Amino acid sequence: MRLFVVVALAFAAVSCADEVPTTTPFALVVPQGFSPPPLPEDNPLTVEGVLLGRRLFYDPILSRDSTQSCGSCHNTGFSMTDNGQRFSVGITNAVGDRNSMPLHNLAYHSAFFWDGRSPTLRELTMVPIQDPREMDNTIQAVLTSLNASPTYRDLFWKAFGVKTITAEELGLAAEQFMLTIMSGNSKFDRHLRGTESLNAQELEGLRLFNGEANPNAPMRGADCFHCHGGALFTNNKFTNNGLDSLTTDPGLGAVTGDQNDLGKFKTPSLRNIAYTAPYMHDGRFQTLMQVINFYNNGTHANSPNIDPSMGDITRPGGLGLNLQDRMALLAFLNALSDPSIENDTLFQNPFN
Amino acid sequence: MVKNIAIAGIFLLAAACSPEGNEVMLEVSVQPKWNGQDLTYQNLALVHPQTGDTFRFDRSDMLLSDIALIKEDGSLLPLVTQDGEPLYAFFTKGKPWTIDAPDNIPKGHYNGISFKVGLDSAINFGDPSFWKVGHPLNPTVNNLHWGWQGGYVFMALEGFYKELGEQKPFLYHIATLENRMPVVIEGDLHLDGSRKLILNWNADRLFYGVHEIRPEEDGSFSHSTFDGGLANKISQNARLSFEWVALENKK
Repeated sequence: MRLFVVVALAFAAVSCADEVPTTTPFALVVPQGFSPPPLPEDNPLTVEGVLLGRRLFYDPILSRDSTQSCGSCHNTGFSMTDNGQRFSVGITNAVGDRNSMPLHNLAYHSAFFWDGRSPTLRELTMVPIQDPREMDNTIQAVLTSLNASPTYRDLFWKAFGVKTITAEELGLAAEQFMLTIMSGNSKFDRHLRGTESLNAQELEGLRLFNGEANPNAPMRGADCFHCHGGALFTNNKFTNNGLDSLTTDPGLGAVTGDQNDLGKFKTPSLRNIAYTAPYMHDGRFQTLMQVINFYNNGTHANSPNIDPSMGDITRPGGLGLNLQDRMALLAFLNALSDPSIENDTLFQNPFN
Repeated sequence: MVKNIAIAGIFLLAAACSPEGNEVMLEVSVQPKWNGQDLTYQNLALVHPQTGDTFRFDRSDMLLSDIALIKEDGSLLPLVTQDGEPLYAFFTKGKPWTIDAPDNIPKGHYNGISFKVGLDSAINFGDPSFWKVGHPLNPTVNNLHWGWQGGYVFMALEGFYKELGEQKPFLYHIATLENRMPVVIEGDLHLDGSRKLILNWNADRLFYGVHEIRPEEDGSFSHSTFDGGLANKISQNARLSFEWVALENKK
């Protein structure tokens, strides 16, 4: 009898140890006015996965000398960009050549980085870890560190039911966290919901933003909406906006190998744009007014592969916006700021 | 006796479950063409057969609604989803231009197919966030929604043309109710089983047909307002840009 009890207990212990833990579904809050996001079917959001992803995002364990995390260059106070820096500086003091991109509403994107090199967030995660100008690490070294950590072994077990952490679960966890960073509560959003009103200057900026740069129209607009329209304030395309008459950075073209893609870069969302200076893929403009001035009368119509939608903007004489117009546009862009990324504790560094 | 009833029941059940019962499936496949050849994108080598103008297409996106079969008495049979919802379609480069009507079409003879490129006002100005993931009208899918004021672009045509040897952009965004494009394609649509209907969309016909359009003379940009009627002329041409090719057995 005693032997039977011992065997039964041992059997039960083995069986419990092997039982894949139950996860808790994570209820993603989609901002009002946004379409349902196309979340990856093979990586359902769970509380355990999202919180593990957040921990990884802020843990310098990912970098070779354990001094930098993803959060080092993606600060919540700057809408997940690099603290106003033009280029990010890696652990070896090497300097990158593209401006750190904001991280929000990523669930709606299908290509990441300025040049679209990563089709998924899980693949994106691996890039800065291995980039010698950023974390300068290897995935194998990261996995060795994670597997040596009882805390991470426990967290990965609870989130994914794995005893040995692989690159797959590392990517899935990071992806889950980044998918949750939603932003849709700016003054403009509240204006649409009727809970707050844009002032007269912001309304004029809105009109200019959504107005065509059509010389035949009675009221000429700034034609921003073609590339930055919709609830996300981006068309999610890769576009040459006429920055240079000669291509200096191949952009998407280096990824696709297609000459027709040279000089094209991801159209960034204008949500939270006031937080994400400097601007453009190379951070060449320090202020939003410089950006507005560029579109007003600084684009290069002869830029190779310039987007056809730039046609009205690049006409001789440009947009023809006067100072009052440009100030109105600036006021509207400032009304797209949503402090929730900075304030929501879900997005904060859990090590603080 | 019981055995016979059981056998008959099984046969009845099998017949009801069969996709070749009284209702059939129809796949509509649209082939983008230029002057009879497959439309190639990002290639400044498309010479117009009538005007001689040279084009390059970068974008030819469109939204289809009111997709219906034309019955023998001339009335329409709207195609609907398995849930009974109206079918919509979004066509863009790099993805199949197909409309898959589920097996809920009554067998029979039809005189053709009709649809509209564009949307009615209720849908056009409705809440775009209503549409579920992957739906043709989901703005994330089609990238044709103009934001909070303008509804959808029905057909977005973008690219370049040659003017005095120089490459210049064209952009025609066809929108607004008056530019909605009804398309009627007559043909012997005999559906006694599941079939695949092949249509051509002839992009070159956007520039002739009812109106000859030459970007250099008629304008290279339109957002469907303050364009001297250019978008409306293109929409009239577009109505005639689809043609029947063949009806095949569905594999």
